[in-house]
Parts: sequence; C-alpha cells; structure tokens
Amino acid sequence: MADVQNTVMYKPMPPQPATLVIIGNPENPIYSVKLNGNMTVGRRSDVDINLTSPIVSRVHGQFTWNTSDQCYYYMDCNSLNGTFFNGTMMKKLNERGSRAQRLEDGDILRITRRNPDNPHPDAIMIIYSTSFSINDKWVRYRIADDVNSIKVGRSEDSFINIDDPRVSQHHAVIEREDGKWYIYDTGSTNGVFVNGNPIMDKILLDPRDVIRIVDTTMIFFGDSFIYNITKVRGASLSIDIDEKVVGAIKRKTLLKDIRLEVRSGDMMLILGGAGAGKTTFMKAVLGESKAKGKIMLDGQDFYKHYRVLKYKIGIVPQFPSIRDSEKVSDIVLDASKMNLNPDLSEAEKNKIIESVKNRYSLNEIWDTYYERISGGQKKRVSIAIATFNNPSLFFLDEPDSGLDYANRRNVMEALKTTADQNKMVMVITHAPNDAAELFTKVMVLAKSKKDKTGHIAFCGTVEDALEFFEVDNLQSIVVRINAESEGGEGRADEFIEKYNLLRGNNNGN
Amino acid sequence: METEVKRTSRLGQIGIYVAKHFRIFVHEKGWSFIVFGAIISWLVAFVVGGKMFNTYENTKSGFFSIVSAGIWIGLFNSIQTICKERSIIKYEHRTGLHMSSYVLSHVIYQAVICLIQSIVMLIICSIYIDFPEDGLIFSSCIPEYLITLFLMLLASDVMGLAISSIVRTPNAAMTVMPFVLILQLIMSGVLFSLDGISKKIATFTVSKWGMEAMGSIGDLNSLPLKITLQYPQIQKVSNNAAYEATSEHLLKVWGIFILFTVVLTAISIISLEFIDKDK
Repeated sequence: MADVQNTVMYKPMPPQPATLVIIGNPENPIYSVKLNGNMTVGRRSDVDINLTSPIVSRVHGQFTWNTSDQCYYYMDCNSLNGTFFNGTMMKKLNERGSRAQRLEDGDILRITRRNPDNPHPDAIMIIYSTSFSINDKWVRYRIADDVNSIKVGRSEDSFINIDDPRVSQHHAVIEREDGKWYIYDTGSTNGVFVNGNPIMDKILLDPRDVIRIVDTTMIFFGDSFIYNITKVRGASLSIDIDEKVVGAIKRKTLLKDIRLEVRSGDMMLILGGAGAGKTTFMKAVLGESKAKGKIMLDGQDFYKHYRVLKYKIGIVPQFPSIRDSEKVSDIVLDASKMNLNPDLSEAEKNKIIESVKNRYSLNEIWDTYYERISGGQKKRVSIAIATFNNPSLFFLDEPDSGLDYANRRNVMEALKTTADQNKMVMVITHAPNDAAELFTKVMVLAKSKKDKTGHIAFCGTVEDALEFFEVDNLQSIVVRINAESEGGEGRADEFIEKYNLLRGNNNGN
Repeated sequence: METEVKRTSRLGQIGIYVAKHFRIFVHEKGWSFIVFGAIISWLVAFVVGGKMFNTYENTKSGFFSIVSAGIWIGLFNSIQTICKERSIIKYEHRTGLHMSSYVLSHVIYQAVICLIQSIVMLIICSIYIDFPEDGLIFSSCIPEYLITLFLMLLASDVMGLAISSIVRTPNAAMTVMPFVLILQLIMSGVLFSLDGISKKIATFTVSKWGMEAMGSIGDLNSLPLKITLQYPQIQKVSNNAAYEATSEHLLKVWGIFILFTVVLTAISIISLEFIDKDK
C-alpha cells in the first residue's frame, strides 16, 4: 500500500459561504456576519463576533468548520446563560462546553435567560443560513394595532411584498383572531414553512416562530416581524448517508458513509467501479429508495419533505421518456404549460420558452417530430423540458449512452450550460474523458473488498482527483479501483482508506 | 432567469393531455380504430341484418353479436394505451403529473372516440337492420340504441384502460384481453343460462347489461319463438325479466354502465398512483 503519510495532496475546499444574521433588541439594527471558518462569539472585544448584550458571556460559543462533511458546527462554551438551539437548551458535555451541533440553513441560536418564557430584553437571536446573503437587507415591520390581516405575496397589493417570481401573487395571509396571530397558505405554489415544516392548514403563530417563503425568512415576534429582502440565489445539496441497507431477512449494506456537498454551478461527475453502488446512490439522492442519513436540498430536509421537494430534482432518464409521435415544439410547450407558474403573464412565459429554446439549440428541430431527431438532440430536449420545473439539481444517469463522441460532447455542454444557470448537475457516465474539463467536481465510489460495500473514495476537483489517484485521465480512475476480475487493479480499499485518512487529517486541523 | 416549479391545476393538466391525445391521434392515424370498428360493425350487421326482429332467438343472437362487437371494439381501443407508455408516465408523474388528470384525459378522449364509433356502428347497422320505430324513453328507438352503444363501448373502453393501468407491458395486456373477452361472452347469459355464482359474476360484466339494454329497447319478449311460427299453439310460458321493455329498466342499465365507467376509472387511477414503485 502506498505510504499515505507522504502523499497528502488533497486540498480541502474552503469553507462554504454561510451567514449569521444577528438580531438584538428592537432598538438595535439587524446585521449580518459572514462566517469564515472557525469563529468565536462573545462579549469580549477579541472574539471574532462581538456581541454587546450583557446576557452574552465573554466567550459564549464557537462556530467550527468541519471539512469532512463540509458543514459548520456550533458549540456553547459553557456560557453562563447557555444557548438555545432551535428552542432547546444545549447541554454541557465537558469542560470545553456543549456537544457541537451541526448547523443547517435556517437554524436559530438564542442567547437569553435560561427560562425561555421570561426572555431578557437584550436577548440575542442568531440565524444561521447558507441561503441568506451577507448583502441581504433586513427589514423590521411593526404591526399597528388596527392591522388584523397581513397579506404576503408577489402582488403589489400585498402588505409584505416579495419581489421573487417563485413567490405566488397571493402566497399567504397572517391574520389576527381574538388577539392571536395565525398564518395560512393561500394556495401558493411553493408552500409556506413554519419552523421548517410545511403548513397545510391555518396554524397559530407563537413569538419567535420562523416563517419561510421560498428564500424569504420572516421571524414573528408577536408585535413585529423581521424579514429579509432577498435576491434569488443558487442551490445547495448536502448528502450525509450513513448507510443504505437492502433486504429484510438477509440484510446487505450497499453504501456506507457517503458525505459530500454540492453547490450551485457545480457539475459533478460520479465515477464508480463495478458494483460500487452508483445506481443505489442515485436512487437514494432522488428519494426513490431512501438511505439511512440526511439529504439537505436548498437547506431543507429532502427525505422529510419529499412530496414538496421532489420537484426540485430534475431527472433526465437514461432512456428518453417522451412520446415519439409529437413535435419538439409540442413537447416543449406542453412541458411549459405543465410546469411554469400560471401566475406569470404570457409575455413572461414566452420569454422563458424562448430562452430555453435558444439555450438548448432547439430552434432547428422545433417543428420536427421527436422520433426523427438524433440521439443527442433527444437528450437536449429531455434536459430542456426538465428545466421548466426549475429544479435545483439535475441528476443524469448515463445521459451519453448510445451516442457518438460529437453527441456525447454536445450533451455534456448542454449540461454545463444548465449548471451555469446556478444549478447543480450530477452525472453518472462511463465516458468521462470526453468532457473532463467541464466537470467542476468528481466523486468516486468504490466497492471495498473487506465489507463488500460501496464507499466514497474521493470527492474534490478533477485536478485533485487525477493527482490523488496518480492518473492522467478520469477513465483510468475506474481502472485503479475496479477489482482484478473486472480488469482493474483492485486498489479500491487503498484509496478508500487514503481518502478517509485525509478527511480525518483535515478534520483534526 | 426561470421561475420556480409550478404545476398547473388538475383541470389544466386534463386539458393539456386531451389535446396531446388528439395530436397523437392525428399523427398515429388513430382513425384506423374507427375504420376497424366500422368493418366489424359491417360484418355483424351484414350477417345478422335480415334476421333481426323476426324471432326471439334470431334477434337475441343478433343483439349478442352487436354487444360482443361493441365490447371488442371498446376494449381494443384502449387496452395498450397506458401500458405502452408506462415509463413515460412514471417520469411525468415524478415531474408533477396527477394520475387522476392523466386517466381522466384518456377517458374524455376515449369517450369521443367511442361516440364516433357508436354513431358509425349504428349507421351501418341501420342499413342492414330494420329497427322498430318506437323507443322506451324517446319517441324513436334510435337515440336509445345510440346511448346504449356509446355507454357500453365506453364502459368496455375504460375496462381496457383499467387493464392497461394494471399490467406493465403491451404483451401482458394482449395476453389478458382474450380472457376478458371470453368471460364477457360466457357471462352474457346468451350462450348459457346462468345460475348461482356465475349469475353473480355476470352482474359485473358489460355483456350482461348490454344484452339487457338491447333486449329491452328491441322488446325481445314480444317477439315470437321460432317454434311458435311453425306451431302457433306453442307459446312462451313466461317472459325473460332481463329484457323487460320499460324505461325504468333501460335507465337502470345505463346507470350501471356509468357506474362501471366511474369505478373502472378509479381503479385505473389508484393502480397508477403506485407507478413510482416500478423498477
């Protein structure tokens, strides 16, 4: 086995952008802090995030960037008043402080008195977000005594007007009844989430409840709201699979410890040796066959909210799932009618259709029947119609199978175009060399000889992958990890261990 | 910039898919189904035409032929429709297509086809068969035959849709079809008299109710037996209650056809809701 101590070439990715929104008492402005690796928070002047409230300890807590799962963690440093994490007081673990809590988009930390029913006037609320931007403007809206109904939506008559096309014209209503405030969804397209859960009926709002409408977060305080005015942002996917087991009687583990992050603009190649579990991985990510673990899509729990979030993953099937006897124009227009927001005007819809036509070069085949276009063109049509759902993630299983080089390349370029629209693209392909330079990341799955289970053997940039596996092209990585019986070198376990060691090393740093 | 995912309403989806079915009808020469239906109708009408409404037995056999042809036409219209595009539907379901909208769009499209086929069938039959003038509900029996044919074809057609939703391949559908047809023919009560369990099973067949409706409109019970023509002293002892020539009876049969259509549509929708489980 190679001397792993001498071959540390993997470069950890820099911490992903994350923002803390800090909300103090109503007299103080709301402000945002960009998290940049490990940072301390407290009242002392030399901490990274300085809070002036008397309720805050001198060194109250610490944010830590973990390279292995590419996530931030928060730990309370045994502060006097402690920290509430999403409403629950963080318990002391040892002399250093509490157990580190992995942070996810929308998590809320509160520093106040230990009795939450008696909040301190200078209590601090910190919202962790990977979807907020440091540039987001936060607005406080005080509810006047004579206001009993607050409309939220994209229409101009909305009390809280959110200029985001993903927000419905009339999205939600917040209403006062007998002195209590309630919220309900007025038939919106993308739903209303309160404290992370989609609401189905009218529900009672408690002070400090967090309402999320697309990328806008509103925090209700009883007599006021704060909310962010946001620009449409990119997508994010965090995969944290502990294991995927099949079989009720004879249990077999197919995947183990698969952890990775994908960001908007990423075009990720999924490479794998024979039987390494690429299809199992794909089905787990798509939610078709759920794995033990957690998948966060755009900051929301994908498995938990599968019915709502499944539309955020666009699938381009290996074999085209389109009726042969339709013209490309009919296929595209029907897809647009099915999936575009009916709130949009005809002009807006036409603009989108035109941009899709141009982006995927459909003009020349617009009036041609699907059965008469080439394999590459068929794939382009499949990708084009999947975009109308505006998914955050596109997952493609061998989109280039059965195509010649020119068409394979053509399809990959279409996918790159898609990724460039602030999307994430994950591709399983057996011909990665055709378009190696188009991939921003590569994830390698390998089947361990020891436990006959698929593990992650690498995740990083293409350059680093070539260096890591000591090869000069992506195709050769598969040769490295494939079993000897499959024509490979049978070195899967070596690379799995090497990658784990590097991940471990980086975690310790 | 594109907008976030939006699925149109169920009603909107029905409209999109009905339009799609008619486009495909034009491109795939769907009118061939109407031509096949017309040929079968012509064969039946040609063979039974001169013998209808003279004796009880001949007329009953004639109606049986028409009912059998109608069930065949209805089933054949649709039995491969859904299973042949199962992988497409699975994908579309994932991207927001409601199965209720999809199935209802097929039912609407097939209803139009069935109506055209019923009209063609009745026109062809009228050329060879001299229908009595009076109807049970209307002043003429022609609209009653038309409604009966239409509802019978539609119930058979939706039965085809239900089979097509349950099976996974066109081959499987075509394997099931003869069994369903044979069951319909046997259970019509024409070839064999039905008792006990078979009588109960027959309650769920289109053929039994098709025969009842036709027999009622044509007032089968009023027609003489063959033997009576030779030996006038021999008379029927009792009438067959299944062919009771009253408007109530006919309306009940039409209601049963509509019930069949609704239940079979629901079966289609429910079975397709599990399409995500397909490998």
